[in-house]
Amino acid sequence: MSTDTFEDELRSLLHDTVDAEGPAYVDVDPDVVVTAGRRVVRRRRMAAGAGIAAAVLALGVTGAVVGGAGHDRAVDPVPAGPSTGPGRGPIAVTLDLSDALEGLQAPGPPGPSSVRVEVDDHAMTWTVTVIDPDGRTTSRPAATLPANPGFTTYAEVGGDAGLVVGVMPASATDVVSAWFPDPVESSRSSAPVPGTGRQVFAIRHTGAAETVLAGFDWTDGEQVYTAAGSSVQSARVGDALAFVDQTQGLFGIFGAHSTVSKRLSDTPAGALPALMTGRVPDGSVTMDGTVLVLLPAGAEDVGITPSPGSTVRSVDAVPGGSTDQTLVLVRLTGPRQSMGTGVERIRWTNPDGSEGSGTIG
Amino acid sequence: MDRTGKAERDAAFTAFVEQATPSLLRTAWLLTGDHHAAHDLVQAALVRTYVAWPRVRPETALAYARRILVNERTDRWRRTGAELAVATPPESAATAGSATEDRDVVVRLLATLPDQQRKVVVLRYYADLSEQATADVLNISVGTVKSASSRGLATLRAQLAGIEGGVR
Repeated sequence: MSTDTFEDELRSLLHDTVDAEGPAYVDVDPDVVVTAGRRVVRRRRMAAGAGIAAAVLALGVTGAVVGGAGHDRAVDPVPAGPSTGPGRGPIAVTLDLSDALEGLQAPGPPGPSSVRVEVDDHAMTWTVTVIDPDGRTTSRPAATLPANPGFTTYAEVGGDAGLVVGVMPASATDVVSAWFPDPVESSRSSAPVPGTGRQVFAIRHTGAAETVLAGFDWTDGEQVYTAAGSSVQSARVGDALAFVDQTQGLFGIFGAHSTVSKRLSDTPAGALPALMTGRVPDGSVTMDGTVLVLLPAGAEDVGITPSPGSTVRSVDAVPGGSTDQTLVLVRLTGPRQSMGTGVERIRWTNPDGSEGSGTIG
Repeated sequence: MDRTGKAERDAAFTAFVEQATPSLLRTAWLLTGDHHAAHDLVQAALVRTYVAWPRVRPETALAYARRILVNERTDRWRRTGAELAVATPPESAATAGSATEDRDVVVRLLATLPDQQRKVVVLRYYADLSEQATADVLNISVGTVKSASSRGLATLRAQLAGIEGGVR
């Protein structure tokens, strides 16, 4: 069999193969695409007009998503209809939100006591019912469930109470969310939907009524993905998983104690994109901080000048591909009250041998 | 943009979606081996195309959407569509002889190729793109396209030749 002949046969075989599948293709609804596209455009316009100061950095852990295992709620499968096995019909999961905001710096107003999410991967719909403390319920119309469990879908349902509810892959172990117009504290609750490869989640936030979810990433502990299931640049250093999501314009850290993200557009002019998460041991006057800094592609030989009183414990620079940025994770310890970012200046060597330096923003 | 302009833009985009979707769905299916994954992948690519629509020229719109589509992480979709992502051809394929079975085999064999080889093979031999156009879509060199194509073809040829009644 000559190569030329095989190439021709392969062409024919591929075309025959796709043509023979005709009825099996799941058609795309242009209206759904346009509606989703408009939503993205709206969000990007809002994000582009933000111009928010680097509040995440200034506040240390603002925008943190707390929760995870400690906030997971009981699964409450509710059979409905004659065929209710996993993946065959509606399955309802109730998330208890009564103490969702406990432990946050600014707990915010009281909100719903729980939310009930019904996932039907036969009808490919999901429905949210918000339950207030007095038992009053408010149901939203059923929304379309993504065919692929790797997709995430969500809706902002809480009104003034600040509540986002959605469905995401069962493999998600943590999520990070970015908010507009200002970073906010939030708390996540989640529970699996058995047999579906999905889990439901609810995020309570303490932002003002106009606060909207501006971006969303999740991790399975190994990689980081967008809501659409595309993986983004990430690097694990110790217990921290750092990432850059150029699609949504976000970067952040999934950490053992807290998870933070920040919009790239919030970086002050002339500064390097950076954010910090910190932990204060009980009774301590010092803080252990982890700073993520984004450097140009190929940056190496990274050096840190710590701010006065701070001590650098480790510096890890993880290069991306030829076009990806270099992710630098700096761990340091400094005085709790005056540590700031802990980094006064950062230096590096570019691939062409030139030296670079800058401050972080 | 005023309301009329936006309506015209959306109408043009809708017409593009209707025209481009069949081709994109077929490409996505060859890449993922799963119809639902293909649907989701195409829908995601089209949403991103919508966002960029004011900057996309009509004559290059399909190429733009295809570029977005193939550069999505298809290995992600591959994992979720694992029922078709077999590492080796199933035993039943060894005795396949009909045209229908050949078609099933080629999809299964595509799934065994590394991600880049699979993309190159699909773009070169299904989408009929030139080596240069394939390189442009995947943002790789023509040399990489040639080597990935050569390796992919060699793998497919060897596996298909080893299947009695398959393509020779």
